[in-house]
Amino acid sequence: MTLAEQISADRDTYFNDWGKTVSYTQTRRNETSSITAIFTNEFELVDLVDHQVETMTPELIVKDEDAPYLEDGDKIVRNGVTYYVRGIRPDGYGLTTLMLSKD
Amino acid sequence: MADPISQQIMEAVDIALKTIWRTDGYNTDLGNRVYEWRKAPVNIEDAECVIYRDMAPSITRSVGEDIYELPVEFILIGQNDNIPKIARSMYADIVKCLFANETWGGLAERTVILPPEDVEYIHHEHTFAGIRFRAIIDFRTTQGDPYTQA
Repeated sequence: MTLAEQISADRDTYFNDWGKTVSYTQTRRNETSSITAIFTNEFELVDLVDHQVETMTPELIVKDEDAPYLEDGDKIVRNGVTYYVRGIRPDGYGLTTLMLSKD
Repeated sequence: MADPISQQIMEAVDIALKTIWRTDGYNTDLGNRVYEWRKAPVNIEDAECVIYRDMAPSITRSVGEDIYELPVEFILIGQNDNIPKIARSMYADIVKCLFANETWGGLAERTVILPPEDVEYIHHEHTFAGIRFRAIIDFRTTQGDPYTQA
């Protein structure tokens, strides 16, 4: 098995264990598909104009091949809650973390 | 003994801020959450809110009286899917409120609003914005007596 195949197999195991189905809409193309992705939503204290704000930080990890045309503003629906992509962080190894917002 | 003039003014500020409601002619409900000298973090679900604190005043001695310049810092925090609009509305509402009450019931001579020192917005679970600015409240007391208005 090549290194690339090993990475791909590890990724698939990771997604099979932790992934859930979400609806993904590529807004510009108006294409909606169901993809398996890993959702996290950590608490975070954010500094804002010399004060601190308590907020959550929803993020979604997707496989690059499941969402090849990612753009800011693309829509994710998970458990009936709609999020919009506000940041895209590819790791260079086939996974991308999407920063999400409800607004 | 009565409260010092500065305390009376800050109580008037608190009362005025709590009148900022959409139902009372404003564009936000900042009056719903008014916090004096709050240090604890604000949960973004609680925005819109205003945090204010008076700072060390400068005092100039004059003939028989002390002239105070009392800086008051305001932090406005809001969250909305149209955050530029709500940020402008929060600031406009505070300006309207401060000018409508600029002598604080005759306790002060005037209130000067300084330009915002800091405006930030952030995308997390919600889009939210913060604005920080100061106003200066000028008032006079009898010399050496912060309790008596001159």
